[in-house]
Amino acid sequence: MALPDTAGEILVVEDDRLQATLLKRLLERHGHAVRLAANGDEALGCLRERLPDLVLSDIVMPIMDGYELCRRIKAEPAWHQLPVILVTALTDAQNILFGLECGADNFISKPFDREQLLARIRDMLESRRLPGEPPRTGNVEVVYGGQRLQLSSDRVQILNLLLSSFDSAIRQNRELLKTKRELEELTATLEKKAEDRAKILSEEIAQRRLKDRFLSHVSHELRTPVAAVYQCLSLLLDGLAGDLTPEQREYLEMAFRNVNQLKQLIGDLLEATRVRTGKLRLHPRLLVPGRLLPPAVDSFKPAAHDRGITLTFEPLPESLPPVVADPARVTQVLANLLTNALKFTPEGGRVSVCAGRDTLEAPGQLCVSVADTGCGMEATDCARIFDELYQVERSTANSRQGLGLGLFICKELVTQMGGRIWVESEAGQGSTFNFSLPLWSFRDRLPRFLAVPAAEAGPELVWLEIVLQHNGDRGRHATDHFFDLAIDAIQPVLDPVLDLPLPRPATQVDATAGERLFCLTRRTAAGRSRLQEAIAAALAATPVLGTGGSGLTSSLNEVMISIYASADPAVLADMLDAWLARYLDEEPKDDAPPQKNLDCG
Amino acid sequence: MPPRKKILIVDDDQDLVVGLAVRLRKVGGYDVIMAADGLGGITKAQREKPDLIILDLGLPVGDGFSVLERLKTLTTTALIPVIVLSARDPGEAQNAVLDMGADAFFQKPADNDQLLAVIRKVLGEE
Repeated sequence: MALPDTAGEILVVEDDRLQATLLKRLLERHGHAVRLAANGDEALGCLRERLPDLVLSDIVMPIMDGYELCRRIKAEPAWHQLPVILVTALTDAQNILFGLECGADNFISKPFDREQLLARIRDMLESRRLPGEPPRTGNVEVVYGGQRLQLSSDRVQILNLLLSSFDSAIRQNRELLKTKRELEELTATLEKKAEDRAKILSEEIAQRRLKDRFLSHVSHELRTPVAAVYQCLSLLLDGLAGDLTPEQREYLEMAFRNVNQLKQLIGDLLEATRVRTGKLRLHPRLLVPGRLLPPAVDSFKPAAHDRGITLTFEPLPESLPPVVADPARVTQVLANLLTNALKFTPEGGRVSVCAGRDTLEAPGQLCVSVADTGCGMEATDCARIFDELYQVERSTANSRQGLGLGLFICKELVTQMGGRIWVESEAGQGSTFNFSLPLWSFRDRLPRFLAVPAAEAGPELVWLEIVLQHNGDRGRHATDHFFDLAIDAIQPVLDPVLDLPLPRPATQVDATAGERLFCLTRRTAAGRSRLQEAIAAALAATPVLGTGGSGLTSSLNEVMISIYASADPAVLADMLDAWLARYLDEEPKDDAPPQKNLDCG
Repeated sequence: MPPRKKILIVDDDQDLVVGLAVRLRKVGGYDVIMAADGLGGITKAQREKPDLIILDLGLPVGDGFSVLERLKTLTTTALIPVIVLSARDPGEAQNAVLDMGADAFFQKPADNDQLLAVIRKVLGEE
């Protein structure tokens, strides 16, 4: 193809192959002949070979950069009229001055747009000086940034440079404006999106609240009729309305089993709602595993027997420290696991419960395991079995699924008590469900609060125990008053450093039991007599209560105060652990209710 | 033979009350009287002086909370033990009624044996 005369040949000096190729293609498409050089040195070789009409050079290149190349071209008398365009960022005055100093004829700012580049080249080629015209050198000296630069550029070159800079500035400004506008649009979109999202979120929250309220309401409303059905069925089954034929009994028992199941489901619904809404309240206390677990397991023996399943409880290891947990909740978790185990174990199978401490999965905790010889499950089920509403796909139709809430509730309960729950199972190999609970001993706990600095020198640890024994059914009011007085009197003297999970056992059922107040404190030697005075004052105030109001007379009949004190925490810890074991052992029967009517149907 | 102790059930759910009353009479050996609303409950408690009151919370004409409050302020009824038997969530109601002077809280449907055990305990029969 014959090139038009005006197009001219261009030497492109660019080390980046891709850039060079793209430039070459662009220029060739617009009628220019193009030669490529990868750096300044190579470019000089090309020039010696044949002079092009224009040099377009990058600045940052290996071996010889664009400034140096330009300087050399302009220093060579035979070449100095050859127009050189430098491709530069033109971002600061330094760039511009370097460009001027090396005598470049024009500049293209990076990143360039095609139109601008082609126009600049066209302008340069058209304004080529006639051969032989002398250079109009300026020789101006400029000091910038501590550097002295000799500018040999002529007026045209300077003007070109200034125009390029101006052009570049305008272009950058235009781009900045465009970006700003885009940013504003983007911000507006984002704000709108955030607003929409917030709206959706608040709607979701409102819906969830509505759902929870609805569930709670439904559960409440279902309880009343279920209670009536339950009551009437149990009247019939207990023979309170006359004798039953075996067939009548069988049908009634079936109905009773199903009412119990319904009771359980309603309870689960409400419980899951409570768990989700954070309304679940636990009442942790120190418990002796040996007193809590066996009765809970024993209550399932009749159900296991009815189904032809052997239910065993391995004896607990000796000298287990107490655990901190809510007894009713521990019983609930164990009952749930046992119900499931019995449900999925075939007749003639075996369910065994055992407990131990310091397992690999739960070091420093008590671990309770319920193992069955039932159908087991796949690994995928094991991973998700504790998820809310999760249900295992079953081929057998004989057992009902439930809502998929039981194990979810167990997980939440155990987690809130500071323990873990997990399962080991294989399809066809039975399952072992495990849960753990934190153990508690003074030996473990004392060092922790010893780190609390004492207010005065010579601290002594004091364990204070006040026991009130009362006999009347309204003695609780009297002891409440006493404790209020005692606490008021003692508090200024003592500095309580530990809240023990040992609540005063004012249970609903146990109106006549003694009540105890415990506190573990620091006391200075100087405070000893003040402590004694305070207790004496509290005690002195007590008889006033005894004669004060109706029904309170003779309600308090024994007050006992024990103080264990030692400056050595290890000695105190051992003393208290021994005392704790005695105390927990003599405690009246634990208040975990027997799960007599929990059926496994 | 000592006189049979008297229990007042205040509940508007007649089906439940009838069943519970039969059980308390036949198994517990108690006399049972009933009231179907709050006002009736307070009136019967004052007139009949029962040994124990079993109180529902969701009642017409004076809900269970206000009945309990009234019972505990009237000199003639203040010392009568009260067991609350309600379908409400124990997490919300239990502590409130115990603080107001009730002796126990049971959620409906309550286990018959547990309920009877607590009744016996509160009546000092153990």
